[in-house]
Amino acid sequence: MTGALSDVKILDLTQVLAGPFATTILSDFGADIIKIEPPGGDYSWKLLNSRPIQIQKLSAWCRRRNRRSVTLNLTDDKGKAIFLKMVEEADVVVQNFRQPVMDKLGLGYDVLKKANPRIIYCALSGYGQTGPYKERMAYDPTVQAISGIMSINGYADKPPVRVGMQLADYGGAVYAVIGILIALHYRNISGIGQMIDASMFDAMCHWSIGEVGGFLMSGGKRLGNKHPWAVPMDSYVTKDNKYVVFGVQTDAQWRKFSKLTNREDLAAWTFNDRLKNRSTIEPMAEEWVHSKTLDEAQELLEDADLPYAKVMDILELPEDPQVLIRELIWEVDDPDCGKLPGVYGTVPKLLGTPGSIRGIPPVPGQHNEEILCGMLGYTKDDLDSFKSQGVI
Amino acid sequence: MDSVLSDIRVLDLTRVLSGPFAVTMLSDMGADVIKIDPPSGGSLKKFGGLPAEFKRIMNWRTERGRRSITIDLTKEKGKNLFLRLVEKSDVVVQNFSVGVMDKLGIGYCELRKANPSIIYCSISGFGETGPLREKRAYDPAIQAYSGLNSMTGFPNQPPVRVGIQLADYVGATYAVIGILAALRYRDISGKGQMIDCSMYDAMVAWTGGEILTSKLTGAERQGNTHPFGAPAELFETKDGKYFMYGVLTDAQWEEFLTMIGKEQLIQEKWNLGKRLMNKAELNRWAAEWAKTRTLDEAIAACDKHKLVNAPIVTAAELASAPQAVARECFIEIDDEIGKLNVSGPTPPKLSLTPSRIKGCPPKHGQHNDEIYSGLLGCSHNDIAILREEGVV
Repeated sequence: MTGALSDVKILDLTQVLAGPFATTILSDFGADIIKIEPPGGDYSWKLLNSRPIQIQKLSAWCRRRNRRSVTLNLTDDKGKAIFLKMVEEADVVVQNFRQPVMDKLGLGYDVLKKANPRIIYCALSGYGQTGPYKERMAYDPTVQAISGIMSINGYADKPPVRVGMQLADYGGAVYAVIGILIALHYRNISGIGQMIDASMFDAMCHWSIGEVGGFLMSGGKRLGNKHPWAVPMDSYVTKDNKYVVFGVQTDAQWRKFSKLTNREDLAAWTFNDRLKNRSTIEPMAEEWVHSKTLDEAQELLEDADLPYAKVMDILELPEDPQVLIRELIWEVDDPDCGKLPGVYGTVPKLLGTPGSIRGIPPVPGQHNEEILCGMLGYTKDDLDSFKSQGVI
Repeated sequence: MDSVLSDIRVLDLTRVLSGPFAVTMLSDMGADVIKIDPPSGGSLKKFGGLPAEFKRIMNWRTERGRRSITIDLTKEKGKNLFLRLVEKSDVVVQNFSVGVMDKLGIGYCELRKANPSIIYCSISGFGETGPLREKRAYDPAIQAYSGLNSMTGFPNQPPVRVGIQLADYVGATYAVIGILAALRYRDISGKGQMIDCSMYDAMVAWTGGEILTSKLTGAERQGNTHPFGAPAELFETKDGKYFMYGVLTDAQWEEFLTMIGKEQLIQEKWNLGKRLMNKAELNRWAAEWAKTRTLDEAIAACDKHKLVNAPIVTAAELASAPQAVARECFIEIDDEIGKLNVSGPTPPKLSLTPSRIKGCPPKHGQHNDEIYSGLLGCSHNDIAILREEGVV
């Protein structure tokens, strides 16, 4: 079955996390991706060399899949020339080097545009191409810190705590993908490419900004698992020492909760009443949950039609029935490792042109001949001399 | 300056946050969005007690740049009006509970009959399939289910949710990706399709990626430490502010030693393994140093020594943070009530076709006449009758 993006050819200069995560989304939906990495492999490839094989493979299946790999030394003039020939044939170039690496290499947007006016050039960086931080080293926790997200995370009596996953990397990646798709759409109409300045910082701010209101409502305090205006709401401990999250946001839900806890005398409490009486209501919820096992609590909350969830442990996730049915985490068949679990699937579900994982992730330079000879017309002799000169 | 999606018409049936946030991104990119609400009122009605300013800020994120019409979709005439609009539109987005659209008789099968190239995006909490499909969508529950809580917080403290409505935002961005990819496919093939976008899928796309990290470092909550950083933590400065900095690479280690006056250790060449083994001691050194500097001094010194670093910026400080100002993350709007800081045009930055806020949030049903007569050719009489019958 064709992918939604099968007609799009992308040159992928990305490495580590944010960039490859973005290009993987595009490749899952069918884009023809050519990964361009230094001879010997990119930063992640080299870094993981000393790690157990399962880890190397898991990283490859997540971050190098659905693409071909060419090695190219972009600091070498011949390497640059080969790259520009590829740009002529491509639709998109994606990179997430620290700024201004590409410009310093003489391969900035103005140069690429001359080689191919239709090229769409996406620069994904920590803070963006502009602003006082544009040349700062970015690192997921620092972007979380500086975008306001950390300050509202955690408990009031403890320091702010970062989100326990590489949120800024993933956020930056999805906005880069959005930018690329938008630019492709525009190029369809106008025939012209453009540059996309995508940043992890912009992505985080786009989300944290909306929380200013809630934060100010809470008196500027971190609330842990509580909520600025939904009462009760928390992560509660059950009789069998598990955590369950639930909350009441509307009057209708409050009536159900008061019935559940045999306090129908309070059923008429409004939004403002609940906010004022948080110190009465939260202990009610705590006591109620504490008197039930996790299974009992979930069943009763389900029957009462209140929103709830158990707090899932990350390592339980791959076995969860919802994950399995939605095919969110795959077990792949790796030629070296055998069955390898924990590879993330494709999101979202396009029912007409679903995303897919196709073929085994390449080793660096696996497709040098196919692309340099097959696509660009170099000979095998050319390849040999490039190799000896350290160009590829 | 062209608006890139100005050739795309979106019918917006969404409510509350995840759906409207996605549609706002499309509107900022130029799409012609028609928001459809019941004659009785908009989606925030059930959250009656929220403060006016909070609702205003929300509105400027979730209702801006659209035209607003009313339709009672439970009435036959209302359904017909809707289907006539579908014939003239490109995308339909909804985030009702799973099954609602089908029950109303306007599920994907019906819409496809009216317009075979319609792109129909359904945003839900857990997806259209799986054992959790009928669970109420509720951001904290989705976060909990995705495994994120279990990875966030301090090692000996309970799991804590992310203090923003993360699942809503992440679900929304993946919906936009799905819609744009489907539009591209439609441009080539002429075919529409359905997108089953689940907030849970989107979250697991990211937490799933952390399984790799968990396997490398153990699944404990890490607080503000970093699996490959030593030192790396959140510290307090002389002026009582939170400041994060750390050392990830050998080069940064030498700079760090120079900065804190322990140059004599450089020659011992502590590698990553040795630094991690001595993490607690290194964090103590780093904490002591931070206590001797004000926040500004600490940032300047770390920047000079090229160490990754960031202050904790609070949500309230964000609007005036220099990088946020430079990146236009906020804009100040001026409507009939007064000035207000609201979230800026959607990222990322496209050089030729930047996103922009198309207009203020409309009043409920403000564009009934304009759309019913202008787009569907209804006469004033027709519209009056529809009003009387409660259809619009």
